[in-house]
Amino acid sequence: MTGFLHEKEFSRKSFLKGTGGVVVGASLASAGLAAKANAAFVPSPSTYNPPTNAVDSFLYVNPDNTINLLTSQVEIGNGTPTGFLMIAAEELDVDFGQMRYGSSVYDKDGALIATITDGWRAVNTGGHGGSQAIQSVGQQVRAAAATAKQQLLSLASKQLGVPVSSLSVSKGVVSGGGKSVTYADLVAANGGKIGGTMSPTSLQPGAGISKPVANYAIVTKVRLPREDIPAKVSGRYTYVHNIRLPGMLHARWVRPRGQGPWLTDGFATPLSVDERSIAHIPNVRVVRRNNFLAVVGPKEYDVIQAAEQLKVKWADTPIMPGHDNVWSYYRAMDAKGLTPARITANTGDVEKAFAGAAKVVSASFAYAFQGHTPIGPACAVADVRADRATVYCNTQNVPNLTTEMAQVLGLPANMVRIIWHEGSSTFGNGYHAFDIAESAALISQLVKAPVRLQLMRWDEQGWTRYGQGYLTDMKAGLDSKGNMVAYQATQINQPSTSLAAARVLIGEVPGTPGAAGTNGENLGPFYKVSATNYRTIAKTVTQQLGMFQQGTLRAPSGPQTVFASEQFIDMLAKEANMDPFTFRAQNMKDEEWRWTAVLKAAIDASPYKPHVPASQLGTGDVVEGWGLAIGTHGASRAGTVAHVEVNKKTGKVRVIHLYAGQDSGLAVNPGLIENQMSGNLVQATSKVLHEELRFDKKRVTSTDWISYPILRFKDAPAVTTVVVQRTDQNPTGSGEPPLVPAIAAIANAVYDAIGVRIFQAPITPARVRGALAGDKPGF
Amino acid sequence: MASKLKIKVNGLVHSVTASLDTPLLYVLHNELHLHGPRFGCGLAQCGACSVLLDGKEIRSCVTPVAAVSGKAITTLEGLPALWAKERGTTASSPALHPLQQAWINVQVPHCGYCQNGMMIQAADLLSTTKNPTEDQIRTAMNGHLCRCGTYPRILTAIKQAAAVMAKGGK
Repeated sequence: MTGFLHEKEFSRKSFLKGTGGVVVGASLASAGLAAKANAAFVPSPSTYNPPTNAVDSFLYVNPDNTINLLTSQVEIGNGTPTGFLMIAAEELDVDFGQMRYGSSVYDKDGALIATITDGWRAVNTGGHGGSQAIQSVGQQVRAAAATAKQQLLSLASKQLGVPVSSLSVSKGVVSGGGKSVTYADLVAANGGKIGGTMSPTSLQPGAGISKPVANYAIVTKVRLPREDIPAKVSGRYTYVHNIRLPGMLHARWVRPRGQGPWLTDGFATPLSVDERSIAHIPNVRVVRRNNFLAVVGPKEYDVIQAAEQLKVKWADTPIMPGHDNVWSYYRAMDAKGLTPARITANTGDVEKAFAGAAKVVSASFAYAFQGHTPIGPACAVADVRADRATVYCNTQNVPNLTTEMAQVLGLPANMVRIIWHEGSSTFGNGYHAFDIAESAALISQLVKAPVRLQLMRWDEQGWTRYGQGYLTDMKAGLDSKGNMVAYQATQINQPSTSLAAARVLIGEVPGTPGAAGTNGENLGPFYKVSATNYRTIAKTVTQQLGMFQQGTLRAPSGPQTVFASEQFIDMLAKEANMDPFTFRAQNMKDEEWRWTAVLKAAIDASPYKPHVPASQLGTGDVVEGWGLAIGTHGASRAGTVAHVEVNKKTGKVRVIHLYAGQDSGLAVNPGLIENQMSGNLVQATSKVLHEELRFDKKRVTSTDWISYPILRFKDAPAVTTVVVQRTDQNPTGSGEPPLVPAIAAIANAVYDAIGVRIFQAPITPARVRGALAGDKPGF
Repeated sequence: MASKLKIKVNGLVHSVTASLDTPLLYVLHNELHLHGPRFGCGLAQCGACSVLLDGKEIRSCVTPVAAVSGKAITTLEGLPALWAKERGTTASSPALHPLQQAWINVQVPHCGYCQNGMMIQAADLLSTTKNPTEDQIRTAMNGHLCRCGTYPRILTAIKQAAAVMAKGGK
């Protein structure tokens, strides 16, 4: 048997032989994983939530002179742990191979076989998201490692009787005066501690006591492969889906196929449950707490069958607009005064500037609701006892889930142990990873046994929190020289829902959602006009008006916004009879030169030839076009060039090639950033051409890959990525930026190809055919 | 009704107890504890669960375990041995199939959840088409979905593995 983590780690006596199965002992599954990674460290309620300014909270030197780095960040395919270990190894002067991440499990050859962030061991560095890991937590890692190095040198100086100035370090061995000592021995002699307090608790590259960037040997010098990949390609990696506990029951959540309106009975209220309908399936039973309904049993396939066959009559509340009517619904709500407006930015005298402009251009854009839709439906394994709980899951926020779980279960926070294992891709905290963990825990609490809950495809697709649909009204004034002199953007959308579905169904009442906002980071803040005559307005369609769960999706509100804002820039360039790069460069604030440079980097990597959009239309049924855009999420900057082909007969758009530049300051492990960029570009292609959540009046109807299609292999674009390395700047995030401009660059390229603008995303063949036939957008 | 069955997986015959209609995936995952094939949709729409059945890619999430009796199943874990067999060097099984090595070289996975099916399908393709064109690769892989956007890297990795395999693994 290969690839079974627990078998590798523990003696055969630990396994219970069942019906051909192998199950790991519970105490080993929980305490043992970390114990292997660090023989001396035993996670317990008293090791929960260590101080965030203590070096020993972040770094743990093992007897073999390997070093564990602890944070609450996780591996979601971004390679963040690899980046962190590079930063720490750089400061500590150890080899990368000596670093271990979190409570991860490595085999005897040092190969990673499970990435683990243990809530009873990890220092709270916050949730994982917003492209903040390297940018912000990386500074904490640097401060901890640099402080540790000082501390270890001081210990070595005393032990060797050699002044610190005469010591040198290589591979974690301190040498001087003809003598040497390992970090491990220094720590052992110091009572098992490195000691030391980080002050300040964050350090940017080269700042304070950290290593000068010019002396870097790792961070900017080597392109390290990700630690998790070998096990992932050999079948040895342990995803959360692979966790097994003794006595564990399988569970499936029973609810309608697709969520109904939030905060109504139609969300998921069982009016009647006929338990006799599954009496013929052995050993399964129904569990219920208020409207929260599940089926459990020892055999997974029996449970799936039972959940499928259980007869339930659900309440209906048919008040949703349906996906085809969502924009007219937004407009109707607005007309009725039901979309409270907030001015989120207001500079100068916009009305006066519009009145004085040589030209005024306006347009409206709509961007559909979209889903996370990982390939693997969410899964969590929970073991809830009277006085404590252990939950294996892939939340992006271990610290917050711990405290929230404690409330849900009625336990003190330090008696809840969240053990993070990787799941299938998550793209934002709006994902229902809290929901799956809390649901598994609630079921375990009800049945008093360990429970593995996995979603089916239909509830993964139909019950997540969706990225909001946006309606954006753009208006700008130009002078006679192609300068923007007035700018206004109004965005109509909905706020995020805050409470997990399971908690709503057990009867908790969610708080009032906040107001929806505008996406200020992509509504032209880098253009000169934002400092002169500039206004942005947010209109909130409140949750009570019959929609579903919503939350943040990768680069939250970025795709929705640039589809409008950067297409609109292209329209203005056309209006000014200018090449769209020249137009952007001319309108860019002087201090925002890095934006112009990053777009130039993408252009330089491509065969793009400057031209006014749609000024060189091809003939024939299949035509090609080029589009540009800039955009971001967070502090990095990205610019994209898209090359597309449009079949005017069928309306099908094929993205031939995407070229992207990204400036994320000092690039940690550039090869990894290139891969992040590439994934972003391909995902952007999927979003802007294919993805649209479907729903009718009663419920979400996108419940599989047919009703929620995504990009397929045949249509995948070629990608070229350029990392703009700026070693004099602080590192900024890389998980999200190029997704954003790629959305608009593709849309602009479609316009360049066919000379007709598509105002609604996704750009489906039907919408392209409609636009070519002269249809006007109905919003 | 549970039955006793024998299935041959990665060269070994296993006795398992399962109802005849249980999809193969649940037997591989829950009884044999193989982590390669993964549940993605249960509808044969995504390919995360793919395995080779007598060398051809199938979706284990919709294939009843009874249907594989007497046939040879190869999972992701069994690809290195399959490659050794193809080269006639069963004595020293390599650690990785050239596809798996190419996947590491190109750093293909993001979350990696779908990559099982990608490598299984690619193994099927390369067993019949030694030097596939880009179009042939795209067509063969079109039934496998990736959410993280790794298609371009998969394309590169398959080309790289094909070149290595054409030279007998050198």
